[in-house]
Amino acid sequence: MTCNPAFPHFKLRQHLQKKTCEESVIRLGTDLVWIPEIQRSILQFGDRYLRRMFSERELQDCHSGQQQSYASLAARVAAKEATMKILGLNKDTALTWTSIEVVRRSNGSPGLRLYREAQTLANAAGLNDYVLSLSHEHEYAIATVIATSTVSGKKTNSISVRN
Amino acid sequence: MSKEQIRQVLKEHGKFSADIDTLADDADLYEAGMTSHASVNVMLALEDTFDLEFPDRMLKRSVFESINAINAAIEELTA
Repeated sequence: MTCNPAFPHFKLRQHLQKKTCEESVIRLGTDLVWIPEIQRSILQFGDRYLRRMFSERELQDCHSGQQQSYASLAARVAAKEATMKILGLNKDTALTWTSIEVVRRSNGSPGLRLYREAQTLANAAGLNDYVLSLSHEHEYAIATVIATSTVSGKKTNSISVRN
Repeated sequence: MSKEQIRQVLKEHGKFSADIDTLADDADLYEAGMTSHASVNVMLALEDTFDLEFPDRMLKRSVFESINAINAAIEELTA
């Protein structure tokens, strides 16, 4: 990526563009999940599937009445897939689904926590801040993750996204 | 025998648009349409079929990228 200013005689614009090139790395991941597919996996493989895919906290967060909320779990699968896209996996990277966790923040909005190999990959990419948006409607659940990184010890511009 | 069993698991859980019988043993299953989530179902079904458990270190694309790769992983786990 080149940093040649589009307007070399306009000093303010030149400064902002340089700052973007040197400091900001932003990655975007999104994923769409068909909720009945998740439901079928749960009904077929039961606890083995749930334990491979979700943390205990995620299972508790998605518990509605006496049953798991398939839509909420599907949204979390989408979030994990979206996160995998931004972590830059290669085919020899071993990554467990539980190393990416969707948490509820105190204000009710969803957040991301990374552990073990997912955290290692994020560290390697310099990613350290995440914004997550989840949604589901009828048979589909979708998640979008925006990750920003710190380069040269300076934090990137903040980003806000509404659900 | 095991490759035929693997093909049967892939037929039931791989969610391929193409007929699995038309894929070569070394064909890339992800290019043929298998998603990451479908590979979880394939893995769990393989565990049932072959009575084994895939360790975390094997949860990577290269292990499930082809019938030959899956067969090699099963041979390693059952050796």
